[in-house]
Amino acid sequence: MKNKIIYIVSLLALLPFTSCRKGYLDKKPPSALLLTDAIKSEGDLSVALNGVYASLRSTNLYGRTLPVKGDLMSDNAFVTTSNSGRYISMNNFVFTSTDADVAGVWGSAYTSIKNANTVINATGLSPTANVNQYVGEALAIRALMLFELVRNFSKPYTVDQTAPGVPVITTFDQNTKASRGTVKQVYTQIINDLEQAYSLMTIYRGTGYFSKYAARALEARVYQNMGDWANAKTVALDVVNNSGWVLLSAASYVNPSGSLGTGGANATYSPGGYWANATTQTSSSKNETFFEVVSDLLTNNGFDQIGFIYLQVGGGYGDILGNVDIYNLYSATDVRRGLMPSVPAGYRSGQAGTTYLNYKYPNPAGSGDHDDTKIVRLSDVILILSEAYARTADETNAKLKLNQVAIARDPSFTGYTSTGAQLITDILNERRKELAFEGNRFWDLTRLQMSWTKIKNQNPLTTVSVAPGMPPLLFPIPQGELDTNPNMTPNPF
Amino acid sequence: MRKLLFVLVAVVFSATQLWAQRNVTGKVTDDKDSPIANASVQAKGTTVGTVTKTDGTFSLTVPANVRILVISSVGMEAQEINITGKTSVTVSLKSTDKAMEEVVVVAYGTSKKSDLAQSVTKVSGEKVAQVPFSSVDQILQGKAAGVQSVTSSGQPGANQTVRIRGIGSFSASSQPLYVIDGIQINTGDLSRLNTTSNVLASLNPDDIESISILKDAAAVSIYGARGANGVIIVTTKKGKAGKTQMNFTAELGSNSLTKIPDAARPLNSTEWVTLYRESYLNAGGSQANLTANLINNIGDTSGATNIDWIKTISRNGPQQQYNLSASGGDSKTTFFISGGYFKQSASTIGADLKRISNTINLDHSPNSRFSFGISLKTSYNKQSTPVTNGGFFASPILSIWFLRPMQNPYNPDGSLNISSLSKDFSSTYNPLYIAKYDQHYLYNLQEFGDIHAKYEIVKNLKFSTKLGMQYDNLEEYNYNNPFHGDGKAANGRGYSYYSRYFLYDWVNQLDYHLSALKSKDLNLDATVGYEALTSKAYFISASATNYSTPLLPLSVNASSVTAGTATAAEYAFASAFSRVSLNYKSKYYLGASYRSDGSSRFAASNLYGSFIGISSAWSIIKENFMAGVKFLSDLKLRLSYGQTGNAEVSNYGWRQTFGYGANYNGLPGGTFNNIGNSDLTWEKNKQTNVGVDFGLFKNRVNVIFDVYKKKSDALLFSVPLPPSTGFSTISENIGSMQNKGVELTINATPVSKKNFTWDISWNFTHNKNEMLKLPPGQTQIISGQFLIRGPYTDNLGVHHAGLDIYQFYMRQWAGVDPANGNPLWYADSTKKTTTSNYNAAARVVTGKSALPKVYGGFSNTFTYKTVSISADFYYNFGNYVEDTWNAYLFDEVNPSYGKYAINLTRWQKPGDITNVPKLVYGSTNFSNSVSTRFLFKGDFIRLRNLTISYTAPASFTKQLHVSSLRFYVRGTNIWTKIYDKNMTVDPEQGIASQSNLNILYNKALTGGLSLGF
Repeated sequence: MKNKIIYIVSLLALLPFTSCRKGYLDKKPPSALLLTDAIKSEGDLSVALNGVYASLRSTNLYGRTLPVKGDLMSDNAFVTTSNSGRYISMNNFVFTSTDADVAGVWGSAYTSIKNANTVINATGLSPTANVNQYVGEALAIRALMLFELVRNFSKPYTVDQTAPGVPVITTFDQNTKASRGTVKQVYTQIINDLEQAYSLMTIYRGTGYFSKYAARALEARVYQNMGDWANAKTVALDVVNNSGWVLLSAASYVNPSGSLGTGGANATYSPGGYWANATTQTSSSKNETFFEVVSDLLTNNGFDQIGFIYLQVGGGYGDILGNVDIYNLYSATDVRRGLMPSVPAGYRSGQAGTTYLNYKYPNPAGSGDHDDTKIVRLSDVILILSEAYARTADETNAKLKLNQVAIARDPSFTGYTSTGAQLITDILNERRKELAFEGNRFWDLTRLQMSWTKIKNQNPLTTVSVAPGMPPLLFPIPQGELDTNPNMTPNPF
Repeated sequence: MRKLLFVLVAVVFSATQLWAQRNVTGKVTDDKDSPIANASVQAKGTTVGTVTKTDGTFSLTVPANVRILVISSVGMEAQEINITGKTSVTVSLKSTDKAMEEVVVVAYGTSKKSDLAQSVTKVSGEKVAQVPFSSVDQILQGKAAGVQSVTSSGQPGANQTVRIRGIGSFSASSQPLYVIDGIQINTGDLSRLNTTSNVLASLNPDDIESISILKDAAAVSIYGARGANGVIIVTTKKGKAGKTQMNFTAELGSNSLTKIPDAARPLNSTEWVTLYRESYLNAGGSQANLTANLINNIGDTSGATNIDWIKTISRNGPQQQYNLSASGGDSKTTFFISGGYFKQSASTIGADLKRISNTINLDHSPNSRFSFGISLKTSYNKQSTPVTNGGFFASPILSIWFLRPMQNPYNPDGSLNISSLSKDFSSTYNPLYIAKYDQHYLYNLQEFGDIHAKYEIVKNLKFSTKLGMQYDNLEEYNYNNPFHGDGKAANGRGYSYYSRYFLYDWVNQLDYHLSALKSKDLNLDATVGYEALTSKAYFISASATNYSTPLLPLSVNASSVTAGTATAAEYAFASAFSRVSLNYKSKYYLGASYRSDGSSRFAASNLYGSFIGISSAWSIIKENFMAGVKFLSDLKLRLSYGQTGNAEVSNYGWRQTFGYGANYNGLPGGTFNNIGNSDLTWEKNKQTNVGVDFGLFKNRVNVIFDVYKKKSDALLFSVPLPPSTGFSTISENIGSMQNKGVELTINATPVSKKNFTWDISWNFTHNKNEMLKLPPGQTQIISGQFLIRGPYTDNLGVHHAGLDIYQFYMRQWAGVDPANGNPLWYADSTKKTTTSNYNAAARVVTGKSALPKVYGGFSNTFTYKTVSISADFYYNFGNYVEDTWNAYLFDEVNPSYGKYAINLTRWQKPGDITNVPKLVYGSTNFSNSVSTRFLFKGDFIRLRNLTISYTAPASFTKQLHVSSLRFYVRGTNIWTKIYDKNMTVDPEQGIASQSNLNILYNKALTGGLSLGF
């Protein structure tokens, strides 16, 4: 009897345990699906594509570092001595292989490529116009990332096509130990991806997304970096003639109002026009911007937004300031001068005299929309076309295109009349003025193997003379990649 | 029919007794001849009984055949008195504290201390109650060998890091498992918005009966997959039958800042300007520009404005706590209820904690075989936490060093200065304004309790069940004002986060006891059971900007909602366990345990793991051959081996997933976000322990000595992947690590006179951590400033052992070149050549570790009559501490910030021998970059606690009609000895020994009383 009681009690006690233990332990994540279940429809594919775009917003990519680098490492900008410790190695032209910003660019670019590959390699979907469009956009993003990687980590195509490139990753495999290949191989992949993207895309969804002509515009820039002027001209011409995009009037481009007050905190200053408007253009609007990476009130990088590194508006860092000589390039009637307002001494700590600020990202704060990062713009393509004409001995058309941009920004300007080397210089200067603080200048300087003086500190003045071949012109391959990938070779630094 | 008969018999029986009875009188006292009131006097074998009066006397009429009286009282050992032929008796009861064997709470049960064959340290409730700390884990520092309890913040309610026998894991958590009253709980920092919080701060230390720290694998292996990092079992107070005992305690005091090391004193105004001028000219700046700079960017350089930022952001923070409890009951029902109030304002402005708590424990046994009860604790915390632990502009701690001494927080009219001119608060914030107008609150409502029942099925076979629940409800509010600081950009910004955690843990077990052999000398205890645990969490995150008024911080007053999302998290364990222990004559002990664990955190193919533990002990002192060894009063040898696991990894990490939330342009987005690993399972830990317990000179000296080796295999490793794959790590069970160590505890009473006693308690721990194996193909992993290196054979065929996992890896500072003041580093590990080019210097294994070689506690208690003085020291030696904010505060690389005093010793002219290089404004020579220059010896001794107390004598308490009364004054952290004169931070900087501008520690001075009635 006693034994029976023991037996029954024990059995009852252990029953719930043995019967449903496995189900009890099956806990599913609340905000994720198994990868294999996630992309089953056209709608799923668009969600995955949005994820790719979102990854471009990373602070390491277009959220901040990429556009910052292109100006900070050029003759356009410097970090003031009173700073928050950001981008010091770029400012001083000294890198170590463990540089966090460099590792960030590398890691985030490959994360975006992995995300793009998820869309590109999605299977089981019928090739509707939408599906083709999404795959095309993902291909363009992969090309964009490869382009950023190869120009940041490898020698310019114009210098050495056989130099070590960067890994070209087209499918995900965690066991990949990719090697660098050559610069040429990377550019071949980029052009292939962009050509395929161009033919797959048929829908314009607004400036927040890649479109047929946005991919084409990017391709023009890629050819420009390769020094392939025949192709640059062909694709740029396609964009200029067939896209339907137009430049805005000077007053719609910049139209300043308000004042800077005490250097930022009490600023009511707004550049007005195109640059003050953070709203992403919809599919009904075709001007200036081909593609921009969107930030808005709900999805943005907080205090790591690009605007805060340039402005002290409402608690921003305002670490990076403009060089006076780029300000001086703008004539008094050039509306773009309104993008570089200044404050007097005493309004920016660490600075001795007048300080020039960059107002291309004026909306990091506030309760409205936040600044998008422009990736490709029409004026850039027109100037690429101008340069392509100039390099292929068509100076008439070169000047026509150059003046189209210059006069659009400065209606009082009568136009450039230069020829030969001076014409090339004028085109490059116009590019510098037009694309200032959009991350372009460094690439014009390096693809053309130019030398320049980089200001490190303005007060007291310290500089570094940059000459072609200097190791810091290339980002070092991150230590994290070298440590884990035996096929990887380092850059000298 | 039977019922009636039974009653009838009873009546007949008692009726017969009425015929013959007699009277017995007597007096009951304690061993000091003080009368005991309310002692129970029972005629053995009958229901006849009474209780003593206040003078200890009793009078009882007993049946004539009664020969024995049973006298008992709470806290006293019961005694049987033969009354044959006596009409009056005097009984002296012994206190159970001395008479009864100490019982230690162990996993799923208790054990007599003398029967312990495992390494378990007990900390009694008296030691943890009523100290001016907010949580019980803070109190453990220095209390037990093998336990490293480290604070890194002076924030009341801050999370505490506890390590038992070294760092148990590399990628998974190394925090021990906490078990309160048999329930495995969620611990740690559950807050999502505030800098730090601690679930254990919800538990009132005054409600704690005892804490058991389970260290060796034999003690913890029954906790299986959750036992690898040791287990801390907290047992709360329960009711005791007998007279109702009331207890009231009160403590009041004040917190002030602990001393900032001399080297880190912020420069005063004159000093600061001197260094600024010097460095500007050194950088080649002109005198004219310097003057303009000073006027425009610095302001008052006369020295007249000289803000002491330490004083400005600190205060004397009041502290108070009150506890009232009642305990009592009868033989069937017992209760314990308590209420507590704790309030601490730290020495840093804005850092506060308030807690109200209450407890009800109720137990009832309808008969001797069945009992059940309920335990319920409710507490409500309000914690205010300034933004700290990092380089936040809003941090009051950052302000101490980063703000210049001439940055005046006040305008001439006395209002707070929020001007954004360069000389004022252009980028850094005015900490006084932030403290006044920003808010950072956490409210935690915690319900913790259980219902339990026990049933004795047959003699010596008990079934018990316990369903425990823990409910934490966290409301967090952050508000940034629209005028100055983080909220300015958005015209005010508010965050409201809600986090709800609910955990239930259901334990069912059968316990069987058997005394075998005729002599009953062979005793067997067996336990089998199962346990099911689920923790579910739910989170809502909301934020909004653009406030309509700065006076109302809740987000309902803002116009733009910037976030409003909800998510959840869940994990579960399902386990079966068993244990058998045998002892023969309390001389030979043998025990074994087994647990099978299933966890939701692992793939279906790896769902279960099993863990065994074996322990043995030999009480040598009980052998006949020891009879002659007079000086030894105890000698026991313990030997154990066991396996445990570590499952503290992410809840869903093994799945390859596509995760959502990567939204773009107002539309939903998702990415392939987790690489997954379907082979993932727990870490396996194997531990061997050898221990000896000595008692000397009639146990005047007790020594506990343990040697252990703990090896962790199949380490949960975030194995680095080439970032070019798109992922930077993958979780794998790879690699192994070892902790070896010795623990020594000595408790002694060197003097024990009638009026004077001196007690010493000393514990010592030495632990050596070593990486034994890294993932294939990797000899080292660089993790921030640390290098994790496994054993390897170099090119010359020399074998190098693995290193501990907190080995600082950086360039070696070689001092300052006396000729030109340039910083120098050693080119490589040989230290043969130096270089002034930072990038030409190699990063090397410094041989300096963040982990101490030895640490422990040392306590002395002197008691003279009614006065007692006790001093508890904590010591820590052999590690290095890194100042991670050095880059800003040393040298003039970032000239716009405040500076440490140590910069005054800078190089000025050729021939100067110093450690601070020539100051160059905005220098780019990397003198301030990471190197051994900013590693300091972490050795310290801290007077953690000094208490002077007075216990009122019985003659006095009697007059007041109270049972006990004690007054005390106490000082906490009142003295610290550091050994490195260049040290710029407090030596206590968490496990990794890296400073991070955390809230500074408090020096508390308190006084209190404890009253029993």
